[in-house]
Amino acid sequence: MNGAEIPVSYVIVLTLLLFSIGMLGVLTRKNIIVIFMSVEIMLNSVNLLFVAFSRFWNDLSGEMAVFFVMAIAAAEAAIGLALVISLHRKFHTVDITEIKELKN
Amino acid sequence: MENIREILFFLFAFVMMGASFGVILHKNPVKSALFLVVFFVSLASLYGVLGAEFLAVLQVLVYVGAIMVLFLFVIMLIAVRDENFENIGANKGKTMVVFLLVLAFTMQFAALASVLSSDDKINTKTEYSKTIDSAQNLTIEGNAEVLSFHLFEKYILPFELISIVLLIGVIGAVVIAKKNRRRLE
Repeated sequence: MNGAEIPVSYVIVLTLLLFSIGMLGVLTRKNIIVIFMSVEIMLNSVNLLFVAFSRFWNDLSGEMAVFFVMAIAAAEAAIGLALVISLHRKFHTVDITEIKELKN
Repeated sequence: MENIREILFFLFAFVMMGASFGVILHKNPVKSALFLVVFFVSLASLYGVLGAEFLAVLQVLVYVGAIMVLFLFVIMLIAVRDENFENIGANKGKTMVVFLLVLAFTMQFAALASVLSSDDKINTKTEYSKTIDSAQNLTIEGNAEVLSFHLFEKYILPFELISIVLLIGVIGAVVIAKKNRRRLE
């Protein structure tokens, strides 16, 4: 037993809190770019959990999962921001409460 | 220092909490994006503290180097004004949903902790090693080496599929974001 140990429960609590903060951002903000950033926070907190459990069980599959999630997140960010640009071109706003074309 | 990693863990955990609150509470989206950069860098440091050095480097390269540049570029391109968002806690229903979800997660964590309670330490000093050829006694060590061995051995098909997904993503982003000339004429 040496000192270089971190209890996995600390990491679980940290990811729990970060995921909740991200969810709060998604539910309360109106700017679609900030909502997108909150989604990134949630995604990254789950990545941290993957790494922690991968180190805990000494199994590299978790780190591979994080690797693939990062690649998918890069593609997702490119597509999402392209959608934001085309949304802004059409409606001249990024406020989600002002975009309500389907309502009437 | 015996427990330097634990001290670093708490330091980066607090920085991450503060930065994520900055992201969701700041009115100016540019400053939110800069808080998100702080979040990603301290998350990369946390990966390093936990012993996943390769992922720490990858986090800085992919998130801070690529995704955040894209975010800032788009924010400045569409010139977002300061936002007038509702006060967190003003909407009782949404706050209730978040509260209940946190409660559910906490109960799940309590169940998990009772399972793990015997020995729940992450030993960050565990070395990565893999025996490639037991006959010749060939062993590789180090995070990047073992991870890349896994990547090109066991996960070669997902790796190739990811490259196709990225290609589709690039083409899709260009198609979605470009001006529709026919409609303008």
